[in-house]
Amino acid sequence: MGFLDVAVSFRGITRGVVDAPQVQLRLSPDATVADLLHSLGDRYGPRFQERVFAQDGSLQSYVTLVVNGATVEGSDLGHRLAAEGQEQVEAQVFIFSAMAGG
Amino acid sequence: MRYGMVIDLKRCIGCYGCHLVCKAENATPPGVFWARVLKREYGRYPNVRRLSVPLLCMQCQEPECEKVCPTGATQKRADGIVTVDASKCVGCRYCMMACPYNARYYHAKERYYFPETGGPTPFEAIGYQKHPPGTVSKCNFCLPRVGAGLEPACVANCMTKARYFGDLDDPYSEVSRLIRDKGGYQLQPELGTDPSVYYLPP
Amino acid sequence: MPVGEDVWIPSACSMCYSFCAIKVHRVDGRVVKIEGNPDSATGQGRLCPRGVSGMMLLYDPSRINAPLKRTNPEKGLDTDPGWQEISWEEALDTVSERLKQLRAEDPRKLLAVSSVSFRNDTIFPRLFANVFGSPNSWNSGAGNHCGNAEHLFGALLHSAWCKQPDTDYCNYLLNFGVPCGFGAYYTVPGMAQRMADARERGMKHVVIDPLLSPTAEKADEWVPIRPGTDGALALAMLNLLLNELKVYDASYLKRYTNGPYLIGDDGYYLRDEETGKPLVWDAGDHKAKPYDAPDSEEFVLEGEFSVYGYRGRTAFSLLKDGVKKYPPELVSQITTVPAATIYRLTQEFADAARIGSTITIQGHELPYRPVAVLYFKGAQGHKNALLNAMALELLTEMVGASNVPGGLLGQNSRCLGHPEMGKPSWSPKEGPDGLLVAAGGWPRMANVYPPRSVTPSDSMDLKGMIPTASGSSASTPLVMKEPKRFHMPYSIEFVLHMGANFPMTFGDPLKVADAFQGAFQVSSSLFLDEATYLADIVLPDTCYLERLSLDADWVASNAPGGEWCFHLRQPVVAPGGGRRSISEVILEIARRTGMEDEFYSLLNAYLDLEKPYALEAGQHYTWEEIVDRHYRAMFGDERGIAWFKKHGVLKWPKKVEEVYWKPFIKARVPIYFEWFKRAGEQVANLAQELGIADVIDTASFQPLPHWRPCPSYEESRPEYDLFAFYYRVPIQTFSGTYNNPWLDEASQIDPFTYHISINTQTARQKGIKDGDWVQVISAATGHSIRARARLTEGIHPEAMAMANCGGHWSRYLPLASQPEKGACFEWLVPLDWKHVDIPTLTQDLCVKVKVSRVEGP
Repeated sequence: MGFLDVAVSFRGITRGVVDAPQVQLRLSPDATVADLLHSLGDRYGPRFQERVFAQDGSLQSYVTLVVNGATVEGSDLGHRLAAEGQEQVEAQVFIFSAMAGG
Repeated sequence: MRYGMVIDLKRCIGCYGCHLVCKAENATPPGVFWARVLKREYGRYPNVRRLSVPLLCMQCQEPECEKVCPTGATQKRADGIVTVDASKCVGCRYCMMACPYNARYYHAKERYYFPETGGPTPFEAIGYQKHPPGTVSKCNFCLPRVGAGLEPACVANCMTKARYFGDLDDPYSEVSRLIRDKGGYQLQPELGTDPSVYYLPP
Repeated sequence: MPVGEDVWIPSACSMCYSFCAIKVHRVDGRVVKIEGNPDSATGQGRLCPRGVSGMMLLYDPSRINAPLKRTNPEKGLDTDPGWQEISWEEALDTVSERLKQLRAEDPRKLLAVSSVSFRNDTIFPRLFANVFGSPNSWNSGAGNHCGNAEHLFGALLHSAWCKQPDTDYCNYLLNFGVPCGFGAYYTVPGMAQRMADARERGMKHVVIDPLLSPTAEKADEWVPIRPGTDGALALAMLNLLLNELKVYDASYLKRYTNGPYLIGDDGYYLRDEETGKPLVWDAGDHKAKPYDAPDSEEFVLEGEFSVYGYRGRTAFSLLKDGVKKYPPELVSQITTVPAATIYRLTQEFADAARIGSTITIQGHELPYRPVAVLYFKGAQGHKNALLNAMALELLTEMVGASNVPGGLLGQNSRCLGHPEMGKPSWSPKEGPDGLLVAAGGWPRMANVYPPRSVTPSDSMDLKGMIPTASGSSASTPLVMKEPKRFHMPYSIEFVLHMGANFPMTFGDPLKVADAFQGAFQVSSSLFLDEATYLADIVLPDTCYLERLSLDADWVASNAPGGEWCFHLRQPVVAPGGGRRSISEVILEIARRTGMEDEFYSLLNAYLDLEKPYALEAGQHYTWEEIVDRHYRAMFGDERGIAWFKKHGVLKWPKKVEEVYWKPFIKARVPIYFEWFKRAGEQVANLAQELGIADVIDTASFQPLPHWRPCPSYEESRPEYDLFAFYYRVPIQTFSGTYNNPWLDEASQIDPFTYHISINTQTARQKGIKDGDWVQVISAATGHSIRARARLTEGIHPEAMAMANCGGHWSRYLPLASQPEKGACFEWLVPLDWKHVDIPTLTQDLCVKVKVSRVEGP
């Protein structure tokens, strides 16, 4: 029974939602993307939750999560953060502002 | 061999693309339009139609302009293209009065598209060498392009592919076939000028 | 200057937002010709009139060549800033210092303003704003041109930013005023060819438009309509289709829409108690089941059932009953289209749809529905944008002509990737309640489904509060003017502006200027246009012939059929004077403000740059290196910009499953927009809470289409008797091309571009003769404009029309600012909440005017 240390950094406007550039979290070794986001949601409250999740609980499509340099597909909330035996991961959370028009 | 053009008025959308690509290809000075578009309206609201007709030199086989040219500057070539030799043109403009299609333009003095600078853009500096002031000019079916095996610019660029170019003397050419199959007609045929530009009905 | 040089360089146009492939002829360092690139599948070697005129933009002596700062502290629409040249060093220092200070105070005070005409370059300043920490960006140039509601339904029904008719197979196109194939709209030369092919093939093209526009001129039938009433006409046609002709594609509606979903009396889905999924009625088992029940016999499309003791009616039944309110005779009074014409058009549309027929293409047997309904700004740019667009979309849906052969195609809804590397790829998928989730460009834009949460917006565009808003937002200048009223804890103090001439493209110029003039504005611009009158610093930008762009394609660049084709925009000549590309300037500013590493990580995420292409912290990358990595990440390691510079384009054939994707994707589309209703209630509650219910009109958040007239229909002063509207011509792009002397010459020769078109009879009654100067006074703004009148039989007698955005007043645009170069429509358009369609944040362009003869300009 070990732990997974997750270093989460927030970039761009995401920072306006969480009011901090980064945070360290300790999750269980088999934690998923959903576990991470819910844990962040608990920490930062409804403002974070409303921005990151759509009304039905799915991840907003303009939210991008990068784990150890690889982009996690938005729909793949069940994606495991770390490989077996890995104890540390870096994650970055991005929220893209509306880019539309035309 | 007789070069000719067919313009399909069903495909043409009157967008002025021919007018502008001609500017770009031939670097005609301000006020000179070797290619242009006329718009006419017919009928009463709400039963009204508008027709856009692209115009250019008709490359007549009986060119009135050639007949009146006192210096021999205007010539009809063996391939049917009517040309103006600027070095022979004295700018008398008889040809402009003779042309029933208003296809000719007199270029009085060097003018630039950005008059505020008093000089030509780099594009014009190259292009206007072809347009000596004091002469009359007109469309020549993009002779340098045709000589290089290319279609005239207005044909090559037409967004709707409404224009066709080829040999009217060859009964199997695309232009001959289109004229035959789709009822191609000349403008003002009654004048007897026998234009090499044909139109297909809208 | 290289002597004896004679080369052709492949690149991409930017004279509008089609981004066509070009080949530029350069002789001794000078551009002598621009042609369409014949290798490109999109334009096939052809260019529009603007595209071939690009060198007159490149060589325009009014272009800016050095950074400038204002010396006149007083700002105003027409107040000369008193420009003084400064060095790049001074400009970048000033900008970076101010930005650093602003970021420390509150980064949200930054607003990035850009234009759709330079879309792929404007992404960069917007990403910069995001890294900076600001959610504020605005596509102002698109304001009066943006499809807003059309884009919303593009996402919900077509997984696409916009739509095109399937010109290969369509036999009947009902076109509500879209210049598709006529020199504007998307994919200009590509669609011009395709529409001409369809015309020659015999497709019937019916154009419904108050104006005999360049598009209507070529139609088989022109149906004049009173401006702004297109939605009402669509409702009458829906009524006839469903209730009189009873022509609709039941099998499509059952399988591919939420038509069979049961709706309770409260307007919401009846849901399965266990799974929470919407219920449908199974005719075989005589009971309600979740919509995706595997053992179902046959879903019922129509009827009323009792479930858990509640009454449930199918979504389709509610639509069918709802449109009964719109008999052709009533709608004829609204639209002025004769009832007989409405009957006939509906019958023709119904017959042409050939419901039940199939076609086999490349071994796939597919539904064959050769009809489409097309609309864009004209039909939806109104107070009733959402509901107009909904009615128009549903016509196509009712006959099952959505994304199948012959019908209406999302423009590049699905891409299965290059045959070798499988990229780029995107595909619509099934989301909550079985409904379509859009792919393509949508996910990183303001995607709309699954619905966003309704929260107090932290951005001026109010998109955080309005989950249905997708396009350019009408709210930005309105909220900027009164941020406190909207509970914004900050105001916009810094505007990073690129390209868009917003005072001339977004409603009442005085009000726009009023909203902007308090901020420090840095403009990267080609010209000292009207927008730069509000700037404090102006940076000389490169034009498309002088720049390397991030990419040269977007979801709307490729034609819907044929081949995929991707391009590169590379500099053809070195930037003239002291011009620098905004993208390179942004990188430099990121460096000077200490944001470089953060910017890189955001670019990695946005552009999908993973190892080995990811930009690494602590490094410095040139603009060229970043673009190269973007291309290699997209198209494989060997296909960086060097490959594209050499080969020009990368293309491969489109698959049937991409073009006609509907039968291959399980997702349903809504014909009953249940979540709009919920969103409306949430928005109304929030507006109440925030004390802004007086301006946030939520009445249009409806699940089914209705007719709601624009405020201008209430105008009672008899002298304001005409509707004014604008339209687009092939020889100008928005306001940005009016200083191009070739396009100006063509616009002078064209009978309409610089004139105000008025119906001959109407003009005579007002004593106006052809060529007379007229004054147009707006009932809504009180402002007036002047231009010469063009009398024509080709316009609705209750309307007057003007082309694009002329009437420039910047004295730094010596050609465009002369009299008789058109007029600026924006003076007539009110900028207030009453004229905003809240669900789509669309500006209502429906204005009533008084037109009278005057002596001169």
